[in-house]
Amino acid sequence: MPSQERSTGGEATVVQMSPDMAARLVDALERLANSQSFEAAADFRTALATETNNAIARWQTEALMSIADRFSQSQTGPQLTLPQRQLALRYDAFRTALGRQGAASIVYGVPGDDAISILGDNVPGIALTFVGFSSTGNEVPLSPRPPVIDDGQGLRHVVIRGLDKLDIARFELRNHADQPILLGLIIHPAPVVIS
Amino acid sequence: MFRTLARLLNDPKLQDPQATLSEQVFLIHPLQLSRWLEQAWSFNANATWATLSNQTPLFGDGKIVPSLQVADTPQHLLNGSLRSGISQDKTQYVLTNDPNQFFDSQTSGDAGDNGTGLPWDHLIYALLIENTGVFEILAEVVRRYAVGETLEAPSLATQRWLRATEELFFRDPPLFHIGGITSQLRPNMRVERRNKYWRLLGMDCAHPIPPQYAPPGAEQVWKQDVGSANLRFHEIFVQLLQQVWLGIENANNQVGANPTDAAYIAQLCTILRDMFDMRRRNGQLAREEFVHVTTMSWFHLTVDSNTPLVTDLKALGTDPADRLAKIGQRVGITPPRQAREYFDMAERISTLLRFIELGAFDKASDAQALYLPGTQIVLDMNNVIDLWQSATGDAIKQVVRVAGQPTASAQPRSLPTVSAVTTNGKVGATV
Repeated sequence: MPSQERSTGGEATVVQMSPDMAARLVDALERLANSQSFEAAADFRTALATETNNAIARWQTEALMSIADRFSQSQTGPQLTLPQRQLALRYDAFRTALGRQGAASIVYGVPGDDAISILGDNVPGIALTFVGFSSTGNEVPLSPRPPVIDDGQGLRHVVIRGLDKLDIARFELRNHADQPILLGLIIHPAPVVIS
Repeated sequence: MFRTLARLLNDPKLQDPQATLSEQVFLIHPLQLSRWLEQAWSFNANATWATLSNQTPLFGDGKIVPSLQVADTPQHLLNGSLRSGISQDKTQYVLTNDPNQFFDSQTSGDAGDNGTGLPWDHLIYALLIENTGVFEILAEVVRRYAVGETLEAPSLATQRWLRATEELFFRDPPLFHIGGITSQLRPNMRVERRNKYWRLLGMDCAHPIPPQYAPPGAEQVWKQDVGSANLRFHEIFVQLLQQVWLGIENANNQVGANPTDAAYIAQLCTILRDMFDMRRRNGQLAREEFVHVTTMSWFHLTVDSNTPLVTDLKALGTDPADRLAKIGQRVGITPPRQAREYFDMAERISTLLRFIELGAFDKASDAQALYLPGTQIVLDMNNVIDLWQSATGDAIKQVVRVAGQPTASAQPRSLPTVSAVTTNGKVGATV
């Protein structure tokens, strides 16, 4: 049976843990070490359902369950899909265009003959790739996906052969994990569209 | 729009996340500001990039913008002879320079005219900012300065703010201006704004029109001859907030029962989008929305920092609501208790509603972005939920759990309904 003995120290109330609960905590920590906190949380949830009479035992079990839940979340939190991340990027870019403080998700691209020059002070310089979208919102097939080239003097550009034959109205810059991080807008001179 | 201009003056390409809003907007001549608004309207013709293919266009029909704008081809009138002359080259606006300058067409309107377009806020932004009382309080400040000396002598900078405010918002705009929505047919701008709030949002301002500015005759004249209005907006929107809160609460729940229903959230977003679409057919309300959110952004910007007016009135504070309360004391008007919440949520809720209007959350997978962690969307949504609940008293987070009882569904059996169906009556929601 869990102990119900309480002792106070200073302003905080300390509830002594029963041997049973301590054993469960050790078990939960072992599961955590083995990336099994999800199962540990489930165990505590079951224990909470069966432990209905003893208030201290319920309190201890709830606390341990909460710990296990948080460990579980840190290991297996929900991941956003690519379309959700693209939506979030468009939302950020819209906030930027509205002049919201703290928002800066837009870069500008100026198309040339076979390259798009990227203007922007907040463009990180490593391992970025370019994904173009047409004026109708569809992804422009570019294979292999062109990298963003940093010339070492503060200028960045993307080489796209046959650019003058493509309809690229906006683009995304994606990081090494293929996450879209900046929304690019084509500015004058506009690309020539060959129908 | 004036808040956008304030950032553009400090951050012309909108690429500095640390950029602050420049108070130099208040020192620009009202003629130039008026023309900049005309240009800003036309810049929006390019603001289609947030829309995906097959989605609802901005304002119901984005062509409403070029349909109403001043001609600029083949010769430049809008961006030529009628240009604002406001530069967005920040090297030309430093604190020691007087921004009362005029630049040629190569620089005027740079930030909006580079193909990106400048969107503006949703009409709900205007409603929430007006609910703070900032419009009526600052109107009384302008009136007091105009008729007497009951307030401190205004500094030169404040006198420029006073002139610009009175010319831009308390008299008829120049003829043929995009902002010229008052006329013999709708002479009272306060009534005009409430009419648009009622039509698009089915809501009234939280305070009545001051008696000295109220139109003679029947009460709530802005509801007369409206025809259809979005009376269900409030109920559906509150239901959406409740459902998104369930999602936020259970976003990391991988063990117990999860009451979140992304498809239901998407359905609520679709209903809201359909409501807005009905009122915005062929671009209706776009022009009035532009005028009203522009007006409120000026007053919001005025109390957003310790501007010359705030300083002159000894109303220094840490947030807009504090400053407004102090200014209100000077002219005998008390802003509502919820002013802080209205200021804080106006911009967030505006962006969210605009995206709902664009159909961005119509699919269940997209609606998940409203509550899954890791994006600005969910941060805004969480803030809106907290602030809306605090401001309105709507029970967004209230969840009743009864031990030993069957678990009730987290979704209602039927969609929320509104008690009043007439648009000419006095029944309606306020925030």
